[in-house]
Amino acid sequence: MNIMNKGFIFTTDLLLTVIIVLVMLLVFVIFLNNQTQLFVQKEKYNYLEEKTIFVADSFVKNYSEENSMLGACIFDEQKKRVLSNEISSINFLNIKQINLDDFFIKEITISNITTKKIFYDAKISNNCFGIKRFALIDGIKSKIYFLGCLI
Amino acid sequence: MNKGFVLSFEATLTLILFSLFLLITPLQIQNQNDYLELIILQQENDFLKIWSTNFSPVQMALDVKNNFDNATLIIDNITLVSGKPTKNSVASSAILLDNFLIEHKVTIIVYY
Repeated sequence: MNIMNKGFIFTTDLLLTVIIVLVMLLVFVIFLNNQTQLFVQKEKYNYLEEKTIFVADSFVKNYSEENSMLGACIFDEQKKRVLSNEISSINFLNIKQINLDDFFIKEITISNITTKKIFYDAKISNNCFGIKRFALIDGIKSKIYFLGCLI
Repeated sequence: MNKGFVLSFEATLTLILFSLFLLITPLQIQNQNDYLELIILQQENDFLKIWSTNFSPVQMALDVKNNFDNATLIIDNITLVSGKPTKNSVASSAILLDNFLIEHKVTIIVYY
């Protein structure tokens, strides 16, 4: 009995306590690790949503001479202003992929009388987000679907 | 059982319970629908912009019914489309001119 509960530094029950505490700490650290990974995933998804929403908004609200992906609206020369939500199909010829290292627009589809894909990127991604906006395309009320993906 | 070098049995039990409490306490993770309100607001704004070019209450009601699952459309205090109110909603309002340049107050409320 004396050998069991009288050691040089530790007693048996102290040893048992330390083991239990260490196991609890280990479980807690594993749990924290899982939560952190979930948080990182969530942040990535937020980034994807944000980029897709902003590119879609730019497409239906702005006019860009260089790249219609960032603005496909009609520019009224007389009034010297952009007509938001009024898009010209001529601008679809000037749609180019945006230059971001970790994000790209996979597909833009318009739907009014017919459904037509006006832009497509063959890159493969498992992490995509879709959004729908509305505008007049050559005077016809249309739905525009954007699909943004992470590389 | 209750006499150790540093910690007693009750203290060990307390430590275990404390650790379990830390495990149960959830960490703050952001809401999945962070941008849903913004998307709905943008879509409402899109329609108000489109309707400003061609004011037609019949067409406007159809647009709302076809594109939003649960929404209300009110024109000049008359409810044309009635949705079921829920806990969350996003509303947009604008004054639009019809073909006779008469003002109409248009409100669209999307529930989610």
